[in-house]
Amino acid sequence: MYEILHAIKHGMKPYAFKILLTMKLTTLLIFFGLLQVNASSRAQVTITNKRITLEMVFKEIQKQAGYDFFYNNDLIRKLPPVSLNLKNASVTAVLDQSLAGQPFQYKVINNSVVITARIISATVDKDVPVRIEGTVKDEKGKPIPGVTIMVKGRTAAATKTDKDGHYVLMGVDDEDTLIFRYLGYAIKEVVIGSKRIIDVRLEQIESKLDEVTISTGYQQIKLEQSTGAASVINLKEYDSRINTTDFLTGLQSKIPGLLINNDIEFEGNSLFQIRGISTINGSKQPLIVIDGYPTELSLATINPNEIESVTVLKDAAASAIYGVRASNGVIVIERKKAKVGKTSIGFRSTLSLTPKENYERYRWDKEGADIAVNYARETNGTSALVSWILMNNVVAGSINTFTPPVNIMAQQAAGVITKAEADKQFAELGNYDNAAEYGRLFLQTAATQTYNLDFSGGTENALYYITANYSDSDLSQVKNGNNRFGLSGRLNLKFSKRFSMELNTNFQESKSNSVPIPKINNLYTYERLQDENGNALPIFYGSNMNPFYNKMIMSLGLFDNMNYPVRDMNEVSDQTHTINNRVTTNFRYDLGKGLNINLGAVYETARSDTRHLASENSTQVRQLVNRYTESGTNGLIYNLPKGGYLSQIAASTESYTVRAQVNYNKRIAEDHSLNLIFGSEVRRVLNKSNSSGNFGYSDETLLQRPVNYITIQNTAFVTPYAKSNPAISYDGLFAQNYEEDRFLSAYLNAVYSFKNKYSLTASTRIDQSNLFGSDPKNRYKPAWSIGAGWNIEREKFIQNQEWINSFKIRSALGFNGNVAKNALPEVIAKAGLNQFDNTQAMLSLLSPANSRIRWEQTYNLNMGMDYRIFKNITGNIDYYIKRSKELLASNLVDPTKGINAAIINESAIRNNGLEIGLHADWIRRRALNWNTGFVFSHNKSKILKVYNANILPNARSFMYATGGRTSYLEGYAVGAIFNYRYAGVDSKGEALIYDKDGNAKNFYVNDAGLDDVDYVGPSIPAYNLGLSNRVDIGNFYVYAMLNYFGGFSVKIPILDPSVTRPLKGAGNYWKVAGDEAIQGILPALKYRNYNNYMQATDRFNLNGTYITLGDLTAAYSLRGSQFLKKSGLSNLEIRAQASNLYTVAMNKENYSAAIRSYEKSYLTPTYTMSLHVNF
Amino acid sequence: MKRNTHHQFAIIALFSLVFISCNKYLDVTPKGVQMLRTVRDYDLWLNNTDLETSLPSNLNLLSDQSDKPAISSILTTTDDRVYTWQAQFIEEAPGNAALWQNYYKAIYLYNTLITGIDAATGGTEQERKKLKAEALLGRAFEYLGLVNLYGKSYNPATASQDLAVPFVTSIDVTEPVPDRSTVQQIYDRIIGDITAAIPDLPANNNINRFRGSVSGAYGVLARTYLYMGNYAKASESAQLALNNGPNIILDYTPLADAKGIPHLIKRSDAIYARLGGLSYLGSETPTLAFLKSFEKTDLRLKLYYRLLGDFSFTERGRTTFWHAGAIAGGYINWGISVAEMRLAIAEAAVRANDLTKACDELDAVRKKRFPIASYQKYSSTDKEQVFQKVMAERNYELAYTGTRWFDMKRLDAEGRMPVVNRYNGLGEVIATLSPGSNKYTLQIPVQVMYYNSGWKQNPL
Repeated sequence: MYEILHAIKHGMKPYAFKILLTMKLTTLLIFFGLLQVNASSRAQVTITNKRITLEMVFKEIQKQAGYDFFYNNDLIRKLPPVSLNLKNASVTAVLDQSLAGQPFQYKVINNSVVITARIISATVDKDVPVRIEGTVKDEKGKPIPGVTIMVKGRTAAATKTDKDGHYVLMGVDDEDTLIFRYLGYAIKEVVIGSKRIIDVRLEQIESKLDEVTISTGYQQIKLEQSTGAASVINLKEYDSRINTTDFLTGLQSKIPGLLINNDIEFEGNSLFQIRGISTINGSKQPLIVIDGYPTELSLATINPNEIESVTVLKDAAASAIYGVRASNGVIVIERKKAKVGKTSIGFRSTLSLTPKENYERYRWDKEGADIAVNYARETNGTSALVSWILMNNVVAGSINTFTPPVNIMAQQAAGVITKAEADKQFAELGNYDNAAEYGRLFLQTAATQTYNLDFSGGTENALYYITANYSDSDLSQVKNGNNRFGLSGRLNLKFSKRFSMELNTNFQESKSNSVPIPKINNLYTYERLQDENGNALPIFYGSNMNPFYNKMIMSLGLFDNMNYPVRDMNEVSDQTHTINNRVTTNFRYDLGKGLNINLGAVYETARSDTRHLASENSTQVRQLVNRYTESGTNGLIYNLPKGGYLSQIAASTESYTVRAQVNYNKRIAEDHSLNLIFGSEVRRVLNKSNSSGNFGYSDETLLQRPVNYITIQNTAFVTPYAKSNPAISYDGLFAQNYEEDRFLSAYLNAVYSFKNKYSLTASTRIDQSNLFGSDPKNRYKPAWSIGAGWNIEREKFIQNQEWINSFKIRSALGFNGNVAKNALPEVIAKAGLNQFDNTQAMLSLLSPANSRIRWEQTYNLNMGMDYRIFKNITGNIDYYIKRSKELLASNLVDPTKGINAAIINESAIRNNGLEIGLHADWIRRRALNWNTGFVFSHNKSKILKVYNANILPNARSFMYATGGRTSYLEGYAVGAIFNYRYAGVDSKGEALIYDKDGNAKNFYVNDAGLDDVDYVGPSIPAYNLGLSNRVDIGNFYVYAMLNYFGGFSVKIPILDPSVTRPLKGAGNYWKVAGDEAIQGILPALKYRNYNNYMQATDRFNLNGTYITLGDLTAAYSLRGSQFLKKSGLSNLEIRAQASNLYTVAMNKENYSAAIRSYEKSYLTPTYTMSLHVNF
Repeated sequence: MKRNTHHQFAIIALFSLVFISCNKYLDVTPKGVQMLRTVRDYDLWLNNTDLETSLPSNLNLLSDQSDKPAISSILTTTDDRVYTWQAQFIEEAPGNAALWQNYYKAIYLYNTLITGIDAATGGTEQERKKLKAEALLGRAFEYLGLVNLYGKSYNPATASQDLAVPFVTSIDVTEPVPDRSTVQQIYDRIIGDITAAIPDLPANNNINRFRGSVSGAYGVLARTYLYMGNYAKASESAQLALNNGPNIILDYTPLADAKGIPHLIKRSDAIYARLGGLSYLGSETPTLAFLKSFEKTDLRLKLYYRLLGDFSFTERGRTTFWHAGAIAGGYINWGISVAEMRLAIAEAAVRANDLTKACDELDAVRKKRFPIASYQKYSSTDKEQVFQKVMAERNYELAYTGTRWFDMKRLDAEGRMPVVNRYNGLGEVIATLSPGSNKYTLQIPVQVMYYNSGWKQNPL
């Protein structure tokens, strides 16, 4: 009775299987003490199990013998499993053995067994030393020798386990706590209490690490089994900063081998590449995979708040399964998943502000206006009168435009104004600087607001994750902005034990609005944008006509041809409206025995509508109408109607991928395990667009007027009044575009692992596509990879190295390729209209016949190791060699072949590099955490072969230094740069360079080719380092990110007085003999035709190496506070971040590419605040 | 176990299904681009604007009619280098080969047709032959330009040793380029191809004057024989061209401006139309000497030249020639025109000492070029004077059609060319073309030599 009451009192809950507690209680109360029956006589139990929990033991007994059990579930659950090997034993024997050494006793009452805590005698003499013994085993039951056992509160170790994992400890008290420590295993504490035998099972810390898997998009591979180079960035690393709208920025300098830099461009694109550039003509961007499928949508559709982890697959072993599209690497994005439980709601809101430009801090010369005016006066001194004649001439006037100072000179020369008047006007120009006016009229503080709301939760069988996000940005130019709304939902359903399904849907709508704003460099410093009354004034740029000729044609009845930027802001609008949709579904059916099949598909559409509307008053319409106005016998003929101009482009991308895949994952025998997938994919990508243009259009009435295109698009049409105005192209106005690519692929990936120590991987993929049209032999090309990995730490010889917790080496070799489009073994033609007739159809040459066209090949060898040392430092080191050959390049060919260039597979590039990744948890305590992430990547590229060098052997020096011909120069890195060695100017003011012996000479004298220039490295950073630190103190943390980009060259603009906004020192050019002695003097103006050469001198070419303080984030969370508990929130976090705070460059000009423009001397930071709330 | 077998079968079936339908799935006809398959495709191929504008626009810069007063002192542009007869017009190699590549591009397009037409579907055998004949004629016309630019002037004695240009027939970019043929071989191919083409060529090209015709073939032959110095055959071919096609010289006398001149594509006096690149949109700068040589009443001045002033022509660069006319209208024809045929007959007649015939032919052209009221027929009994008159008339009538350089070349071979100088803006001589200069035979562009280092370069 006591026991039962005691049990009830202590929260014992009946593990009743059939009978309710209340009924049983009555029975027990009546018969207690009277009917004690020995259970052993009644039933026999058989249990043979090496690892069985007590709970299971009781369940077994209940099943086999029909006994009910009463016990405190919480207590029993904590006990380790026991090993039983009993056949036809009595219940009591089973119980005796099960509870041996446990602090429990049992009592059999009728058909029930009550388990209670063993009553410990309070009379045990404390002075009698307690002897404790036991065995320490690992999770697999193997004894661990050398485990340190300490008594809590004492500094010296008490004892260690022997080779059988056994220990004996004397002289401890019941109250003492034993601490079991062993490297690589979780520390375990046990209170001695009444126990005298304490067997401990230690859990490996790595067991958690082993859970880390690499998601290839096709499958999850255990890190220990992977042989490829893959880096994972997890939520904590990714989410330490505030990610607003761009998901890539959060990856910068965080993954070794992934180079992201929006400030440096190569071939017009900002840098976004994995392990260098290994193609010339093909896409250089990595493939992006979301929810297991590659995406064709813009990166802007990826909501950074939804990202759980990002895996970057860098070598062939990791990415060969993506076939030909993976030669630039693959970025696999995993999105946040719901957890079982009640609905959790998260809300995030951010606000980012970027201040206006501060033109005061630009490197412009303060006397810029004066310099520009003086320059114009100096260079046009003799031609002023001619200019006046030309600019007022009916025939020549429309093509003779001059800057305002020249106009003043011309008027003076023609006697239209007096010298005094001219001087007054010059002075007015020379004294004005429009930077402030520009800033006031056109710029604003850029602001971005984002809101993100997500709901997630569900049961084991149905999980959901729904996100809505909205962002609204005002860009730095007035009336320019965009907004975005996104909705995404993820649903995981488990229909039965075997059959499950995943459904992801994403919707995003984005709108952007802009108006034309001229660049400040399009304006001469002295130009005013508004008069005193606020009326718009014309500027030189884009006016295409001089003001005098303009007046003349206006008097004839044509429009004002001048460009009024301030007016255009209100007369022109550009809008883009984009809708993106993405649906992914995956069905998974488990066939058992490690075999399951997946059927999945993704469907994506993106539609964008671009609308450009210019009113009749806009510069564009006025100039277009003027361009097509003719003089007829009865006055002017306006071939283009007056009125608004509307131009629209509708573009869409549609793609689908359907995939069927079989997975086989099985431990075949004790030591062998196999993970095999094979499948096939069907994929189609369709890009369409069409455009239209309406003239004489009114947005109110929607009326438009017809245009006589036959007249104005005829090549015989010559504009009489406005020759410099831009023309319209009928083909451009009304264009249709349609491109369809189809692919069929089959793939296989196998991972075999032996004793969890050695693993071998192999993968292959065959892609077939319609791109190669008629020639089936070119359709077939398998990509493949093989790899091997060795988990050395599991070898005996390394186990006594205590500081090594895990150590793995791996190597992989593979091959993948890239596709060539639009080249075939036969001539490809394109339809058109004969431009001399506009009615006769014609076919013109699009691509010449090339019988040897084939796929690009990239061989990829990777050697790497993953390590975990001193328990808290993990990382990897990788070395790779990528050899890309048969590269397709639009190569120049022998002109005798009849074409300028053909796509030819004859080039080769080698990339090799070293990558080091390191993550250290220096301090990991509850209230204090400090961790560091460090990334080092080095990439070295070399062009091994180009089909034809852009440069002839023994070419003149300018071939290397000027004109950008060296991007792919045999023997040098991709994007090689060559410099002249500037040596000042000679006594005539002409520029000098040093030859190879250090003698000064003019550019064109005794050209020594390559000897006259220095190779100064590539324009792409060869080194990228990232260092991030996060310190958590309680609920507060600070995070800082440093980026380093090094090993490259940058060009800065030359000092030129003829530009609109001369730089400081631009006026410092040679004027009179003797000036050559001045330090840093520039050549005389008459040698300006050597500006290209000047640009190529080391004076204007710098070492680009720079460091930026990318992010500084501070956050405070109210987690666990009373306030939250009261308000029902589970978390509330406030963060503040400053990005682009500081930069320093390793060159004498302190010009860092992070600033983006040499003219600007400082970095514009962005300040962001965010609020995270979780319910 | 049975259940599993069932599943495996299902999987295999599924995958096989995918691959059975695979080729059908991939065989989609792309839009916007196409392969040349049918006879009609090849017909449209010959309407290609690239063929119609095949001649290099800067050909005129070689001639003594062109001036460039604003030339810079360091010859930065290709035009500057062509104008001063530099050994190489573009130094960057590989890259664009000025002049050379214009011709070979057209040859590639013609070769495409010649290679593929026999396998083309649709259409009749006759249509196939007709298109091939047109392409043979077009290709011959291009080689006529090439052989005269890069080979020596035709000299029967040395023609079979003088190196000209390679005769390319392949359209596969990976095929090697053949070696340079001799001047004789190229002329043989030109004459052989045209002769072979004549029976299959259409009787007229009224719909599109850029396309081939029997008359066009004789016209190109006439020019060929003229350049070869075979004047009898030149005259005979010219007459055949006139007999078989357009033979009326466009009358300038009633025209107020060039607006009245019809578009070249359908113009009645164009036997075989051609344009020099995009030059038709632009202008040329005549030398003052050339302008001064005109008679003031010449309607060609009025129609095609701007800013004539008082006809004293004292300011270099002021007066310009416009390919579409001073007030835009029909373009000047770089190909074969009726007037050129008349002048070829006239030249042949002078050389055969038939001065009457020569003057009559001159009259046929000139009376359409001067106001009726003031027109006087030219006549002379001095052979040299008539010859000079014929050549002068060629200059006026064929001005800036890319032909003057070839005339200079053959005149020089006869020892009839004076020194030609180039002057900068200050009037200083910056380049000289002496009689008998090697510069009359252009050097093979370095961009070509780059790939064919084994070739012998023309002497400097």
